[in-house]
Amino acid sequence: MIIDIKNISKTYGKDKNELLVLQDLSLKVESPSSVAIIGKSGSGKSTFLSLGAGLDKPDSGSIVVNNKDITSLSESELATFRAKNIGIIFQQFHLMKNLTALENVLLPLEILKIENPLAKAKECLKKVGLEQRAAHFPHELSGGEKQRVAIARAIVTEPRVIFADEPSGNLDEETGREVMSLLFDLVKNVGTTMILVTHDIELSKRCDEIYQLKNHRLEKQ
Amino acid sequence: MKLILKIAFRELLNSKKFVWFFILNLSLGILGFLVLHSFKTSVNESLSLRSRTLLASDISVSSRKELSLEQVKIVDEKLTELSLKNPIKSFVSEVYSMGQNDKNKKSRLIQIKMISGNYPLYGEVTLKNQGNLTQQLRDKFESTPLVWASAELAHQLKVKVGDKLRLGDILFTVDDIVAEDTTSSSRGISLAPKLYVHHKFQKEMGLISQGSVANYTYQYKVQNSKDIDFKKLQTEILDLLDDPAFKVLLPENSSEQVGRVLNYLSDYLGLVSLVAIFLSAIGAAFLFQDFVFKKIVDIAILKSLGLSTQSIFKVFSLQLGTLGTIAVLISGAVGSIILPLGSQALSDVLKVPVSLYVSLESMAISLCIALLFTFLICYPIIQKLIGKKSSDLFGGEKNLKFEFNRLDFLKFLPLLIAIELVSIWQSHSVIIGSAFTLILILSSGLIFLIIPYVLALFQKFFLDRMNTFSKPFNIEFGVSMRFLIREKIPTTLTFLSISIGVMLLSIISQLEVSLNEELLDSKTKKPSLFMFDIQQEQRNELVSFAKEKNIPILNLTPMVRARISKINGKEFTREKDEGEFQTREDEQRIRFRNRGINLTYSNELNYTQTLTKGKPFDGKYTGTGEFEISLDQRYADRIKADIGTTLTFDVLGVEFKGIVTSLRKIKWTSFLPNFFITLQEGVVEDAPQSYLGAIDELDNQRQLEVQDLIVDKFPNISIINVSELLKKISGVFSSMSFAIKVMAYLCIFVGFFVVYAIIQNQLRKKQYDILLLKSFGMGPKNIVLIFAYKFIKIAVSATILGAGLSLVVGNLLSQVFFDGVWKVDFSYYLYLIIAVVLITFLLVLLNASGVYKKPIRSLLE
Repeated sequence: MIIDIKNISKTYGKDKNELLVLQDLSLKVESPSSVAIIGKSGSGKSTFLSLGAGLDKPDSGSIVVNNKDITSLSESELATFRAKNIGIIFQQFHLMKNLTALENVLLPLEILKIENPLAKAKECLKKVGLEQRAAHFPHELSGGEKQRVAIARAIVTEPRVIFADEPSGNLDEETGREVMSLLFDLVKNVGTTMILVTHDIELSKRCDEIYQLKNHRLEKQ
Repeated sequence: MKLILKIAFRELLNSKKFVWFFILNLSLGILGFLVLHSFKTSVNESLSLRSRTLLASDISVSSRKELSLEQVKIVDEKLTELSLKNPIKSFVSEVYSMGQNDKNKKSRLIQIKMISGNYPLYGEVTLKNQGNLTQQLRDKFESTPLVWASAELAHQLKVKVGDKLRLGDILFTVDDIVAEDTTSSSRGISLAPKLYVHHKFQKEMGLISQGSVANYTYQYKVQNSKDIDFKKLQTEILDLLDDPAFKVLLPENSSEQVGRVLNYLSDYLGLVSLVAIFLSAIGAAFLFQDFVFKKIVDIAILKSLGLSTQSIFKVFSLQLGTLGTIAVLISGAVGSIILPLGSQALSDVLKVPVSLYVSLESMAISLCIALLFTFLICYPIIQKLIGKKSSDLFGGEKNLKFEFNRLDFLKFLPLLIAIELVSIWQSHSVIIGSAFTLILILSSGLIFLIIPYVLALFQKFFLDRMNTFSKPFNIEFGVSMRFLIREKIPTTLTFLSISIGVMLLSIISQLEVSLNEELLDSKTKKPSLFMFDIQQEQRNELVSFAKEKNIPILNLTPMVRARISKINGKEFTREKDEGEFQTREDEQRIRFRNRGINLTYSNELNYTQTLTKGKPFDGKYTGTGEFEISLDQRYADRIKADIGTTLTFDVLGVEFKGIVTSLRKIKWTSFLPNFFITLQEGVVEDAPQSYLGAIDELDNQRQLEVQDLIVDKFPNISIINVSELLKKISGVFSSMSFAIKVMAYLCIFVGFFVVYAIIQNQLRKKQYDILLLKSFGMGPKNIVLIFAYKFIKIAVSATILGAGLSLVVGNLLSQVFFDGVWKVDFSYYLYLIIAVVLITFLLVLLNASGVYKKPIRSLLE
């Protein structure tokens, strides 16, 4: 079992402004596999992703990733655990604009002090087909290329789980399809688990399992 | 308009942190300005109140030569014609001479004021034992050789009431000590303590002979003074006398004279206050820019909803205006509390009655300047931003392409013009004001040229060779180098703000050190005593006496009194004092044109002089053609003369015409006899003349011995004790330094506020990068380190460059304004760099931890 989420709840705001987003939500994911989380806007998909990826903490319940309950970790322990075990792909790419494509991929490796970082970063860029664009800055890349760099950056540390937040949301249909194909292939080749948050039903069908976020809980489709 | 008001104030209410910092920053700059403005106004007011008693009359006519009976008649008639009654008149002459205690033979230079009639016509001279001057006292004073000595003189000569005091050929009795004298100015430095004798004894004393520096004044009290236009009267009397050697003074001129030293101080402080307000305007601009960029999406929404660009511009202008007004009100309130507390302290330090308060006028001026500067810095940014398409703005700050092109920089031109005008207004000097602006433009230009080039070099030779972040030091250093080198515009702007701030602050510090050196100049050997009023016939006797008594006399120099009558054949007439605003250069020029001059002749240069233009004199004047003239270069500038200019001198009614063949630079702080005008030998040797001379360095005991020896032998020779004078100058200067230092510290404080504003602005722009680093597992310490490295690298190099620029500019300024006297206090720079590093680190820590606390889930928003 790579992910075991048990009865998590999350509420934002206080008193009159209190907003219940997730309630008693549970999910088990076996490794390696791909899971799609679908739902309407405002259903809590992003909240689920931020809790699952350890970017935020639930009000109650537990989240076990790779046999570690991340809700019990301190901030610094969580930061280290996340860097080693979790990769995140954002809808807005979030590349550092003053670093080249290669440096964007290289940075997480160096932070984790992984050996031969340069060779690994180059290899990863090659995997996403951007070895020729290694020295280019984000503003010199197209949207699709930026997302490929972001994918390379997410997989370069070989995390056990990848959380992807609408990775094709900011791309045109064709580019989106290409990027997603690449992502699915890489996930399969690397042997990692991917949690894909999307509202695209067609895209979700490419995953091994589909869950819909409805009434603050996940329902298997 | 209602909508604009609503939007403007709602935004401000929703941005409390920004509002707080903006107001705090601007308030500090304005407070500095208010303190100085208040100081300036208070000094002027107190001088104006005292001016009538200082002049001791409604109007006075004075000159270095006595008015002829005809001239006195002209003035008397004019005043009688205006007031329909005879004016009350008093005649006063003044001379500096040595006085000797007859008992202990101690001698000192004394300012001898020879009075007559009902002096003073305004104000009071109060005696310690006999009180205010009565007719009975005046009659006694006129009939007997009595003196009223100042307390300082009594102390120096150890004389008390009843003791005998020799002045020239008469032995006077000390009748009383002056307890209070409203006619005494508070200039701080006077050459000698004062003493009163009756004018009747002037001739008998035999102190005033050819070449003596004496001053003669007719003072008038007019009966119906309220109905008279004194300004007009002043011009009419000047026209009637038709001689530039005469001065007609009104009470306000008296305060101008007295306040000249303080005027220079307040001009200088005016520029310092501009630095304070300019730095805070830079800080305010950074904060405001930050605020505006946060509102990008809101601007896009407003634009797409149909709000015009002008209306959005009005929103921002209204916000700036409101915040600026609040800052001025706060500064005014704080100033009103602290200034009165500082009045007494400053009065004690500056020896001038100072009553500090915040006037409505100074608040209005500071509001205008603060808003003008802030608005003109922000204007090009706001204008470019709101001119962008809504579609570009909707992407938010992160996706907005916002870079200034060369044309955009032209939009800062109004700012430069404003700085130039305000600087001239504050410094009362076109030269100093323009120099200040030029320094800002040139150094900014230099930084904008150099920094991007240096960054490109770093990219080529450093980053292009470093394949990983961890080399050559560590990952934090590697990331910080990439941020620094590749963010050219923010790096250059940060660099510019810090280095300009450091440069301006360091120039203040350097000017202070140089000004001190200029006055006290420790490097140049100085004489101990300076002699004047040496008569021509005494010259040889004095030289032999000095040889006999082993007195090291230096540079016995002849002095001839003259008047420039023509320049290039054109009458050299008096310039009238017209108009309200005069620069110091105007004042100086008018002053120089209106007075008689002393000149000398010599074919040699002494060691304090260097020729800067032209050639040395061509031997002795042969009597044919025009003789040669050498001028002090600054004097030449003031009378607008250069090589080839012909000058005609009037010496006792005889005219001599010569041509300027050289300009020389004179080290006036050497205290050796020097003159603005030196003629070729063989021209005025036959004219009546006296001599000036100096006596080389002696120890304190020997100084007093030599002084007494010379006065005993030559009672008419006056001696200034240079060492004592320097002590007095030093005392006054340390008071000035105190005021300057307080302002410099305030500037430094404001300067660091700018650094804070910059760091806050830059870190906010980097918040997504910080969140990403955090998501990669980087801890808070490492993240702080990245930005600490980055800003410390910028701050230290900007401080070094700013310090370097200040050394260059300080040196140039010292060449222009201080005769090249230039001294640097390097420990100041060391402290400055240490302070910059520490404070930058603290500011990064303070700001970065705030950004670090932001949750990573914001990346998903």
